[in-house]
Amino acid sequence: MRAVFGVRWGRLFLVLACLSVVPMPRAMAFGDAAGVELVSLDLGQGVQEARSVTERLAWEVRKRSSVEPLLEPGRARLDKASLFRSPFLYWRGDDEFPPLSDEAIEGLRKYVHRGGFILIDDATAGGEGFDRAVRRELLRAFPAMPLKPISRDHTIYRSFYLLDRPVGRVEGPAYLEGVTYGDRIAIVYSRHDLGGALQRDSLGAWSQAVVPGGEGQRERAIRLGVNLVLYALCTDYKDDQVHAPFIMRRRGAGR
Amino acid sequence: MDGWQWQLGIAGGALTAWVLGVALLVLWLFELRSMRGESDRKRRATLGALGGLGILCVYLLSLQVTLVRETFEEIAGGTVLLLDNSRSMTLSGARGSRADAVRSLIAEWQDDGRVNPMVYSFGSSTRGVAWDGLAASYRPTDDTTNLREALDHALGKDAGSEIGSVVVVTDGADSRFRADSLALDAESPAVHAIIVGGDDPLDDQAVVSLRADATAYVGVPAIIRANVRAVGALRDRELRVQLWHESRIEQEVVAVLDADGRAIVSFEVVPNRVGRALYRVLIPELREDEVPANNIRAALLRVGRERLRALLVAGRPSWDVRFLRDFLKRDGSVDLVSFFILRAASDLTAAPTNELALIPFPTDELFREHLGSFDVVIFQNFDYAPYEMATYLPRIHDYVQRGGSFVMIGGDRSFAEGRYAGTPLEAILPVKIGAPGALEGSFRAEVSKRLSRHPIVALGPDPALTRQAWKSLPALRGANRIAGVKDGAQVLLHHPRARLDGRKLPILVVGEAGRGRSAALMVDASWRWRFAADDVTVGSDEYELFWDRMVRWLTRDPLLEPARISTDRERYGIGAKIDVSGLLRDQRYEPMKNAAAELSIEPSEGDAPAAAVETDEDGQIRAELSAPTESGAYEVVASVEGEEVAREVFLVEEGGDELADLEAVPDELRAVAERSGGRSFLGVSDVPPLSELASTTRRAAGLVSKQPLSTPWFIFLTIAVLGATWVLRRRWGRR
Repeated sequence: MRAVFGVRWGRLFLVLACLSVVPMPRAMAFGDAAGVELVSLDLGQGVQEARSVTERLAWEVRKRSSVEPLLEPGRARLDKASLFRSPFLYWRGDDEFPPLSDEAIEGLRKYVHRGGFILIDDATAGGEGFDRAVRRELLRAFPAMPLKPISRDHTIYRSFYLLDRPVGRVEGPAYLEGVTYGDRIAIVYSRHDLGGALQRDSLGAWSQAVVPGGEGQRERAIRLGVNLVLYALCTDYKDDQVHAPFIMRRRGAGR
Repeated sequence: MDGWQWQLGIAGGALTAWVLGVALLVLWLFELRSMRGESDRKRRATLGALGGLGILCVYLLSLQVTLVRETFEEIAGGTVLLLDNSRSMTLSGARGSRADAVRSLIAEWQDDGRVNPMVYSFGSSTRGVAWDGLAASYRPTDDTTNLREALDHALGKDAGSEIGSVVVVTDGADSRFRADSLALDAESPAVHAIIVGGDDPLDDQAVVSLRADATAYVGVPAIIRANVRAVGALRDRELRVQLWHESRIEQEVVAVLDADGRAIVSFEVVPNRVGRALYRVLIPELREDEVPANNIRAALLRVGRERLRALLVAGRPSWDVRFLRDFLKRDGSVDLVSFFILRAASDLTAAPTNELALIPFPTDELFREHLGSFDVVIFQNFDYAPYEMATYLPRIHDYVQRGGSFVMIGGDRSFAEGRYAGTPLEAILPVKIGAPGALEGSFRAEVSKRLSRHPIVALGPDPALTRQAWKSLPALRGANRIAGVKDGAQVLLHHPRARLDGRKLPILVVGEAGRGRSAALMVDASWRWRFAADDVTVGSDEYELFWDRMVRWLTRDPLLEPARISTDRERYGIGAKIDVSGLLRDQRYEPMKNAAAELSIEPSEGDAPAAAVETDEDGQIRAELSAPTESGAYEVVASVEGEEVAREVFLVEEGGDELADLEAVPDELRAVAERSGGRSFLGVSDVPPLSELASTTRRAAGLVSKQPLSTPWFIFLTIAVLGATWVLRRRWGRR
């Protein structure tokens, strides 16, 4: 009886022990509106790869910060109303694409005008096709707001982590580019293949090597991704007076 | 010949007269020529002269010269007595009180008894008063003098009957009055001006007026400008002007007067706390100053913050947080301090502290040191427990009770999920929190029918359009369940289907907490109203309107209060008439129709209300009150059924506007008298009995005419001249 009792309690303990390592939701469900969804742009090709990036980015953001992104974010087209289910849009590409339809351009404008944030990620890391097409379409949508380099002291580099420069799967240029709308940056364009540094395969291993900085650079790329999500959510919050003395002190200590 | 005009009666007028004159002249010349053969020069001259005289007489007769004059008749008219009822008539100069002088004058006139005038008292308005007993009842109390209005009233049709003369008894202390502003003509009655005190000018230094912004801001300099003046013997004396705040002197300057004895003095003040700040500008009293009452004036500054200070604390970043912060940050009238929890204890940042841009939650700084400096505190999906904030909750409770405001916005860390049940924050919220529980699914919030005029949810100009606007807004998803709504709280928005205790589940509830206000919004997706695809249903304007009104209602923006009253002026003299008007609406923002309201003045001089009034169909009230008898800052308080609904502040000054500028205008009054054929008197000592001033009036009585040459004598003269000429010509051998 003791053995049976012991086996029973032992099995129960084993079950509880297994349950204890299963990640419990940190918050109760409150409808899906509250969740932060990092939506991928669907331009007809490469969207699955983009979704794998946003899933990893959502996971990293959830693990590292108090933000609760949906771990299985969806995708959206520029010419569909579903685009407006989230103000965060991830646009990844590795090749030139044909001109967007007028409806898509109008959707792009409306999205930014109403408060949306777009992260454009050039997966070619130096190729010209995607870059040329992106610049062409942004000029169509926002002729009066050209892409401009984002300065090193912008809030994006201190929205969560303190960063010196952008990196991704490749080191890339020492700056991000952005379209400023009002007093916020509404579109950030990275030519560092940020998503490439975040992608994992089905077994959980990193999909691509990060060059030239290796794993240290990968970590900085992940931090940049987290910062970009936090910037989309908080905009210039870190410019508030309350933060200034702390950040100045740490920047000073780091140098 | 004064007033006579000549006319010609001959047919054809002046033209005929000219033609005839020339013809007769030619005839006379021919006659002279015919006499050239006459050798006797005397005969020739006599015949020429007689012929010319005869032709002239004929000419004048044929012209029919007529003299015309307009005539007037004098008719007996009524007498109007205009009596200055302003407080400046109470002043005393070297020869005694002006009011006493007027009383004596009236008594004399009444003893005379020959004239019974129509009497009008004038000040801020012109109104009829009884002649009988006037000497005893004359008590000047009005706060302004308006000579122009009084004279227009007397001279115009308003007087109601023909009048022969107007006697105005005044000290002339109306610097705006100009004689040429009156429409006087030949038929106007004579205006007699009796300028009381005109022979006894005052020696006075005065603060004529103050100009200051009605609203000032903490820490921001505000300017108070004082218009000062000296008259009489004091014009040559040093004029010191002091600024007092509370019971201490803050600044003093010596005014440099211009040629008219006037100067403008500016004081810069920097209010250091919110509320009402009473400043007084004072001229130290000189022994010779005959009107010390006008040496002090007060300015009441409503001191607010230049911008509303809002504290936004969020449990974690979300779109709802992002859009609300962006809105508050963009609003130039809001000074926003926000703090978001970016990392919880369980988060793995994978970085040392010096690589993070994170700062400790400054709870002590926000909730102990600076809490009182905020106008509104917003908890957005924020749970207090992980941050050891339990000790600060009573402080937030007290802050709201003392007049602060608080909003809790829903989410999975708010209300019951944030473990606020039973805490001091539940005590100030308008809802009962109860056990945790959330509602999932999509819904469109509906506005409560009875409260659709409430400014927070009144998105349209009327209830129907408001309901339509809410129906068209993008849907929300998920809501916090609450245990109930507290007594007196107002459910502004509710769920369209879900229920709580048989009623629709509240989504937005507002209420009062002590002297403060609070709101509970049980959703975390109002950002959806700002960010949507559909051009028709996107509610970006509505989102901003909703949150703007929310903040302003919580912080008691006067424009959003259900009931408002106002006074016709900000400052009054002692005992002066105060016109109060206002709009009274109940807490549902519905007009209080035909409601009995009481108006009282605080601090009060007695227990009785100052006035009892009834609202009209639109909730409007109008009443007349008397200013208190002591100078100071007061409030008119409107109450309905014993409950205060609105209040408005005003000042009472011993001097006030009426005594501030005592510059008389005797020259202007003299000019009026001269133009109208009346008389003017400086002082009352030489004023005759009223019967002497009660002159008749002139009226046009038609035209009189005469023809001075159409007389028998002139005709006889003409015939005689012509006859003599004819006789002499025959005798002297001519034809």
